[in-house]
Amino acid sequence: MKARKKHYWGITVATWLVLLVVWQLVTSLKITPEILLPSPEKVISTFINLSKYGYNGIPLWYHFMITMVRLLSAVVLAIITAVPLGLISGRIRIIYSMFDSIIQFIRPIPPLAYYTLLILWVGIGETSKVVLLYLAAFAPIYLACISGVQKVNDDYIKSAESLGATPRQVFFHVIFPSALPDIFTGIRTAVGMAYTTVVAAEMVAATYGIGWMIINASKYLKSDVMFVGIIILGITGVALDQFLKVIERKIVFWSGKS
Amino acid sequence: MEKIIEVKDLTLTYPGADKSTLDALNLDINRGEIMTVIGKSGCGKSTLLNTIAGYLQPTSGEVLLNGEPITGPNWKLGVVFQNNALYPWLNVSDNIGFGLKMRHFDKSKIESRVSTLLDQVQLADKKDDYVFSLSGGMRQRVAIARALANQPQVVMFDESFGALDEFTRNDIHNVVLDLWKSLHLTFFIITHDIDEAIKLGNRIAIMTPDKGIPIKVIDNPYFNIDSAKIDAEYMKYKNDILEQIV
Ligand SMILES: Nc1ncnc2c1ncn2[C@@H]1O[C@H](COP(=O)(O)OP(=O)(O)OP(=O)(O)O)[C@@H](O)[C@H]1O
Ligand SMILES: [Mg+2]
Repeated sequence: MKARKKHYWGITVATWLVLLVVWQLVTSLKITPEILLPSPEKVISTFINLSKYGYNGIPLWYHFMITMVRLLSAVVLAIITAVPLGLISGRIRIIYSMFDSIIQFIRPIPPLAYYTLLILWVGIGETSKVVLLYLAAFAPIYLACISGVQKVNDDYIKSAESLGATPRQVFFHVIFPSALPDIFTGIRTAVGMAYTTVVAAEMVAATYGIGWMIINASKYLKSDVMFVGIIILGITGVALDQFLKVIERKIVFWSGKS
Repeated sequence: MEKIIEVKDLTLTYPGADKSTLDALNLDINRGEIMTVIGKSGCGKSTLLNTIAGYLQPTSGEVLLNGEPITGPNWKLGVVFQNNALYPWLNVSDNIGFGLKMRHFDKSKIESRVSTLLDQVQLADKKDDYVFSLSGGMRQRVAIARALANQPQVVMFDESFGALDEFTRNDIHNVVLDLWKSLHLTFFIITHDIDEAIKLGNRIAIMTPDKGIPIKVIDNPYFNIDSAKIDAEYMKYKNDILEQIV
């Protein structure tokens, strides 16, 4: 069993406080022009304003929600398809040989490289974005499933067979749960990939979303709005990962213990 | 004596290996006995067990259960592994009931069998616990109960007690012997410990392929011996076995 590494929360909080104080000092001493670095108060008041009146006539929560909806629908689609395909590929060499090289080929390509092509094919609307994120999220989940299946303890499978399980039961009652910890790792990586990609895609081609808000604000040098957008992205990213970790600990509670 | 398992001229060569691991091996296991198996590391004990369990197919020769060839793993042939191979995502009861669930027994039937087994291996108070919270000895008892739940005809153990400390191992020996007495099963127990082989075996099978004898079965007058009664005769018997192996 791995001993838990101690986390000095006090030091973490202190570091953030120091950063805030430095930020405050730099802006109140007017070391940098306000247009490049807005003060903390300015960012907070902009956030309140945006929450009340929206950005470009569209409420802030709507910008946020649309980003999340794009992200989550693509991730859910990726889970639904990559998990079964990955599990089967890990078990059946013919299927593996069919799909693996294609996925290995797509995986290292930065999704934005084929985004414009997707826009040409399916239009600039939501479909091209969801397809883009889907492609970004697919490979990490697929590869994690294969590795999870290949790691399954052989004795787990042998015992199940000796206990009367059919090949189908072995798959659903032994291989699938054994691979679950890896599946979760894959999903977390996929969410990270899709998250980076959604913001980038919104910057390239969108008319709303947090990524779009940031890029649009940059055109008018509204650095306070950019700051609000960036902070929202940072907090959301951490929150998403923490949320997935909590679910992971609930579902694969046995992982790491033995 | 009625034979339950017959191994006839069994030769097993692993794919790609240049020589056979088991070579024309013959062995009969009697219904209701405990046969213990000893031999040097690498002599083929696990290979023999894996073939009887149906995980490996003979290169030539055959293995029969009640006169019928064994074609693959089967619930009638229970196996307890060295590292117990219990499922960490299931609690103790669900691990024990796994085989019955796979075989579509009713819930109530599963519950009643599991609860009897929990009593027999003295783990009734741990029934809802997960495996990772149990000690090594408890895990092995769960693994034994899981293998017994199907009421198999033969239960095979591959160095299942080797990783346990001496006291725990003694407890497990007693659990195994009690289960054997009450259930009238056939046990096939691989071990690398001669005292364990003598304590648990009605008969002892010695594998010495390096001496040209694939397997030889001897009677054991010291089955279930009380350790207080170990004397010079016992030591001589034990030494004889040791000399045959090395
Ligand atoms: N899957 C395999 N492929 C090829 N050779 C194997 C395989 N498994 C075992 N062997 C070889 O067969 C021989 C017998 O192995 P086996 O595991 O049956 O021995 P064992 O008596 O159980 O040893 P131990 O006491 O160490 O468990 C060894 O030489 C081993 O290297
Ligand atoms: Mg072995």
